[in-house]
Amino acid sequence: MGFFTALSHFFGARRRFVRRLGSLCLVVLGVHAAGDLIDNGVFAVLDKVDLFFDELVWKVLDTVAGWGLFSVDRAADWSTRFADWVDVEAKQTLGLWLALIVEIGVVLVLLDFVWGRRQASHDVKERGIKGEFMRSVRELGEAFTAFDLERVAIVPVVLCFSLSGALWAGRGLETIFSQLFTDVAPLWRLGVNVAASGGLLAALLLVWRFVPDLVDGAILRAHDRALEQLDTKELDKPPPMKKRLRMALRGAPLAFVVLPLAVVSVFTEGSFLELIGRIGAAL
Amino acid sequence: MTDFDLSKFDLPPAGASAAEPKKDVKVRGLFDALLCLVLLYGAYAHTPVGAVLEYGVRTALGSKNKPSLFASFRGADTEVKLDAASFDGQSVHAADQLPSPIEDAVKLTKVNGELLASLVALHGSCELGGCTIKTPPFLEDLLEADLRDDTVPIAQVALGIAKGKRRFLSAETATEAMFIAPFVVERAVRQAEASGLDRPEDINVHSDFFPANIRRGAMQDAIQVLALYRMRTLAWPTPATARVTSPFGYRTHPVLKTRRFHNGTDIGVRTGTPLRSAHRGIIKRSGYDSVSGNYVHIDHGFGIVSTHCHMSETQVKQDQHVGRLDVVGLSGATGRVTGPHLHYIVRVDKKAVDPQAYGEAPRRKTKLDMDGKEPVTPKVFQKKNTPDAGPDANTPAP
Repeated sequence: MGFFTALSHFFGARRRFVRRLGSLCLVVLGVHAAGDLIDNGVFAVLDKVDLFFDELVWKVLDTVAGWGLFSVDRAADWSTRFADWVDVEAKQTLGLWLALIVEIGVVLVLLDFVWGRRQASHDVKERGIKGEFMRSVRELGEAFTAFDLERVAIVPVVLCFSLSGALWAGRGLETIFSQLFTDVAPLWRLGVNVAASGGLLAALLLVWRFVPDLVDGAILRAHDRALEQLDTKELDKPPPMKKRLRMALRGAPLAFVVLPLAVVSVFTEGSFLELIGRIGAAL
Repeated sequence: MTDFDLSKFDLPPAGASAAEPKKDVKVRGLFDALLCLVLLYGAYAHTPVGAVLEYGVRTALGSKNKPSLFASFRGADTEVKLDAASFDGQSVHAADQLPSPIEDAVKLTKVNGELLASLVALHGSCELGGCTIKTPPFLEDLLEADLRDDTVPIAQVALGIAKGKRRFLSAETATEAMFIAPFVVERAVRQAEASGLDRPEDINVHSDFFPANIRRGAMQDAIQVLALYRMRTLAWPTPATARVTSPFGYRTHPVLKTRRFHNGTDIGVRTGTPLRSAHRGIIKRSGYDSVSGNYVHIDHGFGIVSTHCHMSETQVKQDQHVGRLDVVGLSGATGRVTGPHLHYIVRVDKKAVDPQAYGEAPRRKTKLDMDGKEPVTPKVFQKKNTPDAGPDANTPAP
């Protein structure tokens, strides 16, 4: 047995770990594709909050100064000091810290689903991307019989983040291809287009090798989490309304905060559209 | 919707580990492992999650060289790449009169005199009517000639830069190539270009494509020169005739009568006067603040950042590239002000510095509102003496 065959078998025996690790990296890259959006969003919110409080403090101090408790100059001084407390630089730094926390928070929220639970491969009859996808869709349909926002949201969230992560990685590989063409054939006019196509192909490869397994694992894990919410005694009868509502809303942050970010991450200027644009550039 | 008979799924119990593949089945996994490696590198090198992990590991190992947690955010300013110590004491004001050997070299080669002056300031000296610098390691490559002496006249350096300018289309890139190696720079520029980055010839853009050993070593020499050159060529944002109404430093506030630190320079300009970028850069923020009014925050690279405040209108968007002296907006009286003026802040290495000490700014001739103390010496870094930037003390103009 050759070295590469042995190496391949070594990784093959640990392929579930390899795929989980790859999937996790894919999602981490995908979440970061929305990172600048998070940063800008957080900064905009901070801006509005800061503006609101600055105006509020000035109005309060001005009103109190009008009652004669202290001079208007003193009120202006205090309000200026308060306004100075959080300046543009401070807001920028604070915004970056919050964006970092949000980004890591999103990754941590998804970590459980991404690491997920995997079916033992020999139990699964379906093989290949189509088979795995069809099985995932079937199980998803069955899982949705009990309404739960978490399970509704997890599939598009994981799909979008993994897709944007794959495109991001594809763009990185495109840079390497592009440099290769620049070195080998600097005058070849189609080098840019071929490199971009190579990047897209690499992204598709990543989707093929990691996404079906990732989505499957996330669905199963979401199903497990739903089961963990129910007592085994309750399985035969519908739970009370309060519990049903709590279960339904359990995934609200995922559905209303993370999902929009995931969708946007696919269409960020830096990945998908640019890559597509370069494939057709100057043709 | 109410069917909770979840037991119909044929699933192993929660928490149970899935069975391993049968031992006799040999599955290949090298391809997946290689793809995983690519993803692992991407997540490590280009995301905050990777930065946080690296930061944690380096902290645990007691390393002083820790990565920035925000480097992968576009909203973050350029990481400071300067070696502050080597700058201390260097003039950052554009010289009205350059030494005659530099003037001669400029006439001969048309290379910017401030660039040559920056080279001499950091790597050489002017003595007995001649200016020389320590021979840069790759000047030979640019000149295509053998250089045997340890020092080289500035005219010869200028000639090398002029020759390199034809190859790199920029005197700054040619200067960089003298220290780093032309083929390495050329390759990094092409890689930055192929990645679709704007201004690939700028060292702040293409330095990410240098090999690791270059990033740690030779790059610093080039960075120092180019950073000093950029500082010495910072333009003034308003027409030169505009009057400075309140300079940088501690002052007694004319209305509040309290001693406060003023972190920028107030320039009296009528509403609607075009305000320009001090140098080329990227718009990091463009927005409204209750104190600063409409403001524009420009990153000029090397840790040099300028902010224009109280504008009536901003004419740039976030992430936009601007050139030197490009109009970024119109002056006004927005935010907390008593009249129209520009509050102009320059930060170097995240510390507010006197804008009048840089580049082509009108020099401070009097002590003005310094409360009898000496004006701030035009040094780049005065970590011990310069008061910390503190809050954005852009108090109303008098």
